[in-house]
Amino acid sequence: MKRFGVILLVLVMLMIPISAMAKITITWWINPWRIAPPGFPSDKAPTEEDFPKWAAEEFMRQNPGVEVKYVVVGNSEYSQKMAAAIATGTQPDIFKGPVWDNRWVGAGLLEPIDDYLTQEEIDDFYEIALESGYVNGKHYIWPWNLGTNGMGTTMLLYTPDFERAGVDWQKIVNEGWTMEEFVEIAKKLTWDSNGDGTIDHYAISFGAKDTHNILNFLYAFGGELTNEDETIVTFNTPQAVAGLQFVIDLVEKHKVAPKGVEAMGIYDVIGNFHAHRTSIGFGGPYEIGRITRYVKSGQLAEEFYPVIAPFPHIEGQNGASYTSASGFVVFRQKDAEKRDMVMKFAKFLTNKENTALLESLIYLTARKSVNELLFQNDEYLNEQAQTFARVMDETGRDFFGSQSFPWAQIDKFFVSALEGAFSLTQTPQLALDGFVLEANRVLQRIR
Amino acid sequence: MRAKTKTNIKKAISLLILGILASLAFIPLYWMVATAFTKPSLTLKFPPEIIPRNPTLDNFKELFQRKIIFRWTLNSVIVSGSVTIAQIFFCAMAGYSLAKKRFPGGKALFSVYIASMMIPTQVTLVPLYIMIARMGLVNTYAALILPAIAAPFGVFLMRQFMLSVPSEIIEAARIDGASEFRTFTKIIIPISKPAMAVLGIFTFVGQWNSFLWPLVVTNTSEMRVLQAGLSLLQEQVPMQYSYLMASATYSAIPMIIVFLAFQKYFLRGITVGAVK
Amino acid sequence: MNEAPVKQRSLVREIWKNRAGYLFVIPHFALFVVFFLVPVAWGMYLSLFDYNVFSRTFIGLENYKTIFGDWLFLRALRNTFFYTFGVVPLWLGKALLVTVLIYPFRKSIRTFFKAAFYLPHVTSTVIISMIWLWVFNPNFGLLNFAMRTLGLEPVIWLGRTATAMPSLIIMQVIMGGGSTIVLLSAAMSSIPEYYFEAATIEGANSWTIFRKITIPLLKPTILYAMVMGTIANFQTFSNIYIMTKGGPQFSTTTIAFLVYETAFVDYDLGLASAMSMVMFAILVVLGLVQFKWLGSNVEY
Repeated sequence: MKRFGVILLVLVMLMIPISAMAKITITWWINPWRIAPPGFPSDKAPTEEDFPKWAAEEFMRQNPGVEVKYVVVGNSEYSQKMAAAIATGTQPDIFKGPVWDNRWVGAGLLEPIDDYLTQEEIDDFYEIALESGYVNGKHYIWPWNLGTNGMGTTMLLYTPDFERAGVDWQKIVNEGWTMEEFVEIAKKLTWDSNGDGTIDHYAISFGAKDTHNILNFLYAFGGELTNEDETIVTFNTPQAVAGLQFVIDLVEKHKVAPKGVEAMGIYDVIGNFHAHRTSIGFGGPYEIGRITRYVKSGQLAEEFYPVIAPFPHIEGQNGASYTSASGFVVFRQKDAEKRDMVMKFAKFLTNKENTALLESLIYLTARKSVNELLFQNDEYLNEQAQTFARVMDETGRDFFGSQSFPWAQIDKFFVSALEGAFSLTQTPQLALDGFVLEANRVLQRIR
Repeated sequence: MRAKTKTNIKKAISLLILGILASLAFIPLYWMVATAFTKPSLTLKFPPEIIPRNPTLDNFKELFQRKIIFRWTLNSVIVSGSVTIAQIFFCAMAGYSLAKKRFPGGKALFSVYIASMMIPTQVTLVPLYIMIARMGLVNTYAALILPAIAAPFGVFLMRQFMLSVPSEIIEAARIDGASEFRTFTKIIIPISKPAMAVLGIFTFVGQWNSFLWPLVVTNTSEMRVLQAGLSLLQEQVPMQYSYLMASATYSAIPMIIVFLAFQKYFLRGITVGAVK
Repeated sequence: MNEAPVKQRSLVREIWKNRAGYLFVIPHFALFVVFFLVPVAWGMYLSLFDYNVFSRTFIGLENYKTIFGDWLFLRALRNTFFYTFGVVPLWLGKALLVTVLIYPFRKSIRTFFKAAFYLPHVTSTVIISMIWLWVFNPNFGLLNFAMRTLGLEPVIWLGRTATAMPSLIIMQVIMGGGSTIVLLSAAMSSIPEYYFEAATIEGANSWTIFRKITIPLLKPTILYAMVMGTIANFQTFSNIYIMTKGGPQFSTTTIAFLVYETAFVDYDLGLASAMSMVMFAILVVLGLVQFKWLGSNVEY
C-alpha cells in the first residue's frame, strides 16, 4: 500500500506542467545537422542544437506572441516517431528531415506553398530545387539545400596520386573523361604500396549497399529506370546491363577496385578514400566539408584537398550526375492565422541570410543568389563549388524517379540485385531481370 | 589422494574450456575499450594495434564537452532505477501468486502473460504511443517508466523461480498462524533473493540499453535517457569509432556497477538448508 | 434446478477465499493490462485493416492472403527458423556447460567468470553489431586479418549468401548466453547443497549427478531460458539492421526485419501487424511444445 502511495506521488510530481499559453505555438522537427548560427565562434564545432535554438529564438524575437518549439529528430527513430505522430495527429507544423514521404501529399497531410511563393523566390530557387517538392501540380517544399547525398554527383580526385602517376587531373576536371580513358587511368592508380606483393592501393572502391555511385554508371551507359510515364521499370535493358558490367569489370577484370563490393557500404568507400587507400572518392562540396570536419574532430590525421571532377562518360554521350534537393515541408494547418505564421517561419528559415548559413556545412544552397556568394574567402572551395555547379547543370538528373515514384519500396530489390551481381552468383542481366520483375510487381500492387 | 587429483584435473580442464569461451566473447569488448582510449585517427589502422600505443583521454573529453550528457545519465538512473525497483517487487508478488496459489483464472492469467511476450513489439509501438498521447503523458518520466514496469517477462521469471520453493515451508508458516503478508515478506522474499537479484540485473540492464521507445516518446533534449541521447550523437559521427566506443564504454559502467552490487545476493542454498 | 445459483455462489466464495492470490497479482497486472495488453491487442486488431497511419480501411483477412503469397515473407520465415534453431540450442548448451563448470569453484572465481560472460550484455546490441561489422569487414576486419596471417584466403563473410547467416549465428552464440548463465547460476545456488553431497556420498559420479539432479531441479529455469531465448531470437532485429540490412540477396532477412521495413519504410502498419500475428502464432506453438517437454513441475 505504501508502495502505491509513493508511486502515485512520484507520478503526480513528474507530470509536466502545462506550458505557458502563447498565442501561437509552432512545433518544428529538424534532423541533426551541425550548422553554425551567426556569430558562432569559428574554432568551435557546433552541435545539432545550436542552429535550431538560435533560429527559434531569433524568430520569436522578431515575432512576439509566437512560440517555436524545436525537436531534433535522428535518422534512427525518425520513421517511427513520424508514424506515431501522424497516427495521433501530433505531427509537427514544419519539418526538415533526412527524407520526406511524398505519400503525405496524397494523404492530405501537407500544405501547398504556392500561394506563399513570391516571384522573386521562384526566380532565385533552382528549378530542380522546386521540382523536388512538386507533386500533382503543387509545390510542397521550401527548398533549402542542393545535392543532399553526394555519392552519385561527382567524383573526388586525390591529386597527389594523380601527379605521382603522371596523369593530368586538371584536364579531367575541365573536359571530363571517357570510360576507356577512365580504365586506363585507374590502372595507373593501382599499386602495391608496401612492397609485400599484394595490391593494397586501388584507384576506386564501390559498395553495393549504397547504390548511388553504381547507378551513375547504369545511367551513363544509357539505362533508364522507367518508361516515360513511370508505369514500367525498365532497368534491365542492354545499356543498363552494360553499365553494371562495366563496374563489375573494374573489380574483377581490371582489378582497379577491391573485391567484396557486395558486403561494403558507403562508409567503407569513404573510409578508403580518407585513408588514401583509393585515389578516387565520391561526392560534392559536402564531402569536402566532411574531410574538414573529420580533421577538426581528430578522426582524420591530415587535411587534404581533393578536386571535384565529373564521372566518366560514354564517348559522344552525356554523362550523368545525381541532383537532388531538400527543404522544409509544412503540415496542414487548420487555423489560417497559424498557417500564415508557419509559412512566415518557413520563409524565415529559407531566406537568403539563413540559407547562407549552410555554408558552414559546405552544402550548396537552393538559391542561385546565395551560391554565387559562397566561399568568397576560400579560393579552393569556390573553385570546387563552381565545378560542381557546372557538372550539375550539364549532366544533372534524378536517379530514383519523380516524386510520385515509390523508390523506397523497391530499393531493397535493387540492392539485392547488386549483391548478386558483385558476388558473381548472378550475371548482371539476371540480377537486373530479377530487380525489374520485383519492382514491377510492387508497382502493380501500389497502382 | 587419487580423488583429489582427479578433481584438480577436472578443475583444470574446466578452467581451460571456460577461459576459451570467455575470451571469445571478450575480444570484441576488449577492442571496444581499447578503441575508446585510442586517438581517433588511429582507430581503423590496418593491421590493427593490439595495445594502444598512445592511449588518450581525448575521446572522453570530447564526450563530456556536451554537458547535457550528465542530465541524460541522471534520467537513465531515475528511469532504470524506478523500473527496476518496481519490477522486482511487483513481479515477485505476481510470480509468487501464480506459482503457489490456486485461484480461479490463475492458469489462464499465466497463459496470458506467456502469450503476450510472443507478440513482436514493433507493431505495438504506435498503439502504445497513441495511448500515452491520449493520457497526456508524452515527454514525461511516466511515459518512460510505466510501460517498462508492465513488461511480462519478470512475472514469468519469478514464477518459475518460485516453483522451486518447497511448499512445506509455506505450509509450516501457515500452520504457525502467519498472515499472507508476513509469509511473503518473512519467508518468500528472503528465499527468493537470488531470483530477485537476477531480475533486478536484467531489468536494469534492459532499461538502460533501451533507446527506441525513449526516443519516440520524448521531444526535448532534457528528457532523453543516456542511450537515446547517445544514439543521436553517434548518428552525427558515423564511423568515428573512437568516439562511439568511448560513449559505449561510458554507458556500460553503471550497468557493471549494478551487476557487481547485485552479485552478493547469489548465496548458495544456505537459507533453504537451514530451514530444513 | 438449484444448480446455477449454487455454482455462482461457490465461485464467488472461491474468489473470496483465494483473495490473497488476486491481491498479489493485481499491482503488476493492472499496469500490464493498460500499458502492454491493450496496445498489443490494438496492434493485433490492426492486422485486419489497411492501415497506413493516415487512413484506415477494414479489409478482413486480405493482409494475410498477401503475406502468404509473398515469396519474401516465406523466405523470411525460413531464415528466421534457421537462425533461431541455430542459435538457441548452441547458446543454451553453452550456458548450461558454463554454469555447471563454474559451480565447484569458489565465489571469487565464479563471480569473475559470470561477469566475463555477462559483460557483452551491458553493451547495447547496436554497439556489439558495429564492432562485429568491423570484425567481418572483408578488407580490413579482424577475422580476415587473422585468416591472412594464417595463410588462408579471406572470406567475404557478410557478402556471400552461404556465410552471412551462419556468421550472424556464430556471433550471437559467442556473445550471448551471459544472462542465462547468471540465471542458471542463481537457480543452482538455490539448490540445497546437501542434495549434491548426499548423491556424492552414495557414490554417484558427476555425469549422473548432472543428469539426475541438476537438470531436473533446473528444469523450470531452463524452460524459462529456452522460451525467452526462442522468443528473443525469433525477433532478432538490431544485428540485421546494423550489419546486413537483410542481405545479401535477402538471405538474412528475418521476419522482424521485414516487419520493420513494412511498418516504417512502406508505412503499411496493417500488413506489418498481420506478419506479427503470424510470428505470434508460430511462437505460441513453439512455446506449447517447449512447455510440454520441460514444463512438468518437480516436487521436492
